[in-house]
Amino acid sequence: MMINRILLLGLFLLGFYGLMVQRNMVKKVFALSIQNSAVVLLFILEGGSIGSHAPIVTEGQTAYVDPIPQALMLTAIVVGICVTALALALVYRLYQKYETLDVEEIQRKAGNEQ
Amino acid sequence: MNSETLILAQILLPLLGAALFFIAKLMKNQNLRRIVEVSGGFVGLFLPLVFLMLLYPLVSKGPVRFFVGNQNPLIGIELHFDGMSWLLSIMGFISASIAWLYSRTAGPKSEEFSALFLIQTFALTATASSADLFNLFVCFEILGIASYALTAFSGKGRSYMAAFSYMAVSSTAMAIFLLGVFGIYRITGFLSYDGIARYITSVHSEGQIVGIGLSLVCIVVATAVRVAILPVYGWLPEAHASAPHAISAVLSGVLIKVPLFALGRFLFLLMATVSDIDIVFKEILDVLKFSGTLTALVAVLVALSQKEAKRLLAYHSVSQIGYIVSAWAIASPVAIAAAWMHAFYHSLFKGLLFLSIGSVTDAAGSKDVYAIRNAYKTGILPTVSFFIGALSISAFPPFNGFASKAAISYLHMGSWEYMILSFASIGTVASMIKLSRIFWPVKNKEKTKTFADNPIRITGFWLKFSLLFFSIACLMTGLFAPQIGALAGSLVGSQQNPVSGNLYTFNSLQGTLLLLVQGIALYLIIISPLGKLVTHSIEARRPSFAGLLFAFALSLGMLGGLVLFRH
Amino acid sequence: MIYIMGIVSILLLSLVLGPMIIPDFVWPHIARDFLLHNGLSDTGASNLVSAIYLGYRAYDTIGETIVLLAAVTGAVYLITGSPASVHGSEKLPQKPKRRTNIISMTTGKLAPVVMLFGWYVMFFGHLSPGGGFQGGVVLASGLLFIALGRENHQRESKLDRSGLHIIEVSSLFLILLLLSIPLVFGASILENPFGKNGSTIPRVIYIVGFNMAIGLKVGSGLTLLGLLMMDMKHDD
Repeated sequence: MMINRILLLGLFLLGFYGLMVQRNMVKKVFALSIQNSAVVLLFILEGGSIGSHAPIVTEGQTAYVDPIPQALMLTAIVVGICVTALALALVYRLYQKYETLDVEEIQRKAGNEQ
Repeated sequence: MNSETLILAQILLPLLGAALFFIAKLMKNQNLRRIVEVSGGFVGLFLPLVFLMLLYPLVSKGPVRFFVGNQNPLIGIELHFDGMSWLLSIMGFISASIAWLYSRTAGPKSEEFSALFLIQTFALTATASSADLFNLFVCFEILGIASYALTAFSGKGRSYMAAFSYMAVSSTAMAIFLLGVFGIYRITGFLSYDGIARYITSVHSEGQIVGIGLSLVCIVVATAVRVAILPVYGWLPEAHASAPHAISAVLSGVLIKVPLFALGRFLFLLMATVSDIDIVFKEILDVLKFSGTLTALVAVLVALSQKEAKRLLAYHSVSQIGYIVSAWAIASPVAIAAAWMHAFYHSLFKGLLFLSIGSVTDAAGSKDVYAIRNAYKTGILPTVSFFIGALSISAFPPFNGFASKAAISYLHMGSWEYMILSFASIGTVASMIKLSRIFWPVKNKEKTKTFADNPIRITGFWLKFSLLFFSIACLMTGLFAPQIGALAGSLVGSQQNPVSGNLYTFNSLQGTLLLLVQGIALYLIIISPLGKLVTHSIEARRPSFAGLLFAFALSLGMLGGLVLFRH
Repeated sequence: MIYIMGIVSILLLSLVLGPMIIPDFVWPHIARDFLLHNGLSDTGASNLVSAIYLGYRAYDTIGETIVLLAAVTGAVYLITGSPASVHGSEKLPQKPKRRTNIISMTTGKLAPVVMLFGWYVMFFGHLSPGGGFQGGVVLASGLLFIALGRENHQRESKLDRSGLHIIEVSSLFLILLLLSIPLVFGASILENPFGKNGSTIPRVIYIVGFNMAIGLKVGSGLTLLGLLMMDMKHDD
């Protein structure tokens, strides 16, 4: 249905806006995660429109949803987790180094060092 | 072994090398550890080169297309190993091996570093042969994650922030890439390039054309972020400047080029089938050519203003990739061969520049171009190799930059792009003069702040070996440029040699002399008081985090708007 | 200023993404129809999603495992490399005591159940929703339950970090082995060599093998990461 797709597009844009505008680094990582979730939901939602049953082979059933988006999104979710983990490790080190989570302060301090 | 196994083996061997490094980390016995590390490096970086040599006779006959594991064409993952993959893999392995050897002496020596380095190399070769959209996504992601982690290995606060910005922009771009894959899959039902190409011959409705066009825009702009052209290059200077030197060499040398050629495989295959969508492709490629040409000029002007040595080189990388994109976007086989040649030569001389400048700034303890002098005292090899690199990038004969830049300029002969690329070359010469100042023997005046007189001599076997290898390679590939051009041309399927027959005509040598004079003139303008004012104001501007994402949204919007409103 | 840039970017993005996502399209069903008829016989798995990502598109799954490996290695290196002991620990606020009676009792009882469930999800991934990644994550959360419930001297004994490293490395080798086993049988890399032409080994053993290897890898990697993030990098 169209309203679902419009809402998911809104979710993605929300993630993008948050990534750009938020000053707190941890909130930027949240926003990155929201973006990924929006894309994953979109794939799965749309793939589910051609059937009504989970794609597990059972007797006499033919109306399965499309299994390909689900397989692709398994990969996409794992990649999203990896990015989140690495981003959080970087934020941790940045906090240890500069004692602030504000991105503009960090850029100012980092710009002054060699 | 059949060809498929050989191809998959040279892609997967770096993984075996990485696994060996992980084992080495667990070992307690030092000698055993070193043996395992050396074997890891050998298996991961040198053995694939041997396999590539074995594959050459096969590839010169024609591309090898197969599905991994002999799976069904409808769902399986397709790989195309053609001449371009071979060329890209050679470029990747040579650059990665030498940079890794450099890091054995000078750079981070931990096993995690080498393991991640090998994982990055695996991703490079996998991207070079990929012929499936989702596989391309996975390969880009592996490449990305390995390079974010490697950038952060230098341990400085700057590198963490640079890695974070790079990661944020790149992940957003990959999310948009995934949306592009969504758009294409929902219309065509295929993920492999062949399947999509077969489907689009039957596309006629306006709605479908717009849908596929916008998906292509998403995919192209997402790849453009990786390739770092205008206006999305903002992440590159900080990332390349603050990474460890071996990583800067590989990032600049290979990682910003392979995504471009991998995208090229997708676009050119689709363009080869006649359909209603051809206009969209032409428009996208025209915009890319325009952007690439402008990048070449703008980036070199910003490079002129930098005061930190590695940032200057990083902006140069952006400029050179602009040259490569402006040649690539012409989309004829000879243009692609010329683009590859310049990419290969650039990986050699940029690697040389990063490694030599890196060693010198490490020995000097500072990266400020205005502060270092007398660096020739660090040794003959770093000094000579820097000058070889500088002459190569400024396109002086007989080094390799001369031949590849001539090839690219020849493609654009007579158009406005030719003029802009010529201006960019002048800027290159001027900024190399500026960078070479750190080597000049100058009496110790009071103005030079930190380092002048007693630098540490640069030592280390592998360090010297890597500098020597790159220097000799720059010279050799310059002397044998016509042969290499013929090889590249034949592998890519073009009849023409991108390097024209008479390279050393009187005209071209005269042109080089003129270039030198103009470069010196520009340099003198830069160091005049007015020039200093302008350059300092340019240098003080740093791209902000939000600015990177804004540039991305802007380019997506512009290209998408172009497609939307023409149809 | 930054808010204006944000609003403009959102408008530009919706301009490009809107016409691509919002209009109604009929989703193609070629793949679904093909898999309906051939998925079970080609790979032996009744879970068609597992048949795809461990059978037809196993190359992508290898790539995904390597992404996880790279991210865990990078994150572990970043966290353990930090000089936390050098940084003045008086400046950091006192960490609240984690172990209360409720937590230790609940996690102690839950952990074995969760780990068993993780093994089940891993092994039965070809018959019901699940698989290596999902099972590995559940396994990791079970192990982290144990870590949560203990305090200092007690917890390190069971969750020795080098033990987890060994499991991670051996599962990487197991994956590489599974990749190349078909070569021994005369097939090409990543092609399922079992169960063809009436041999006794069931065809699905290849998928089960992959599930096990991936599950161990993901489980050990994520447990390592979780332990480090719970600030347990010092074995004291």
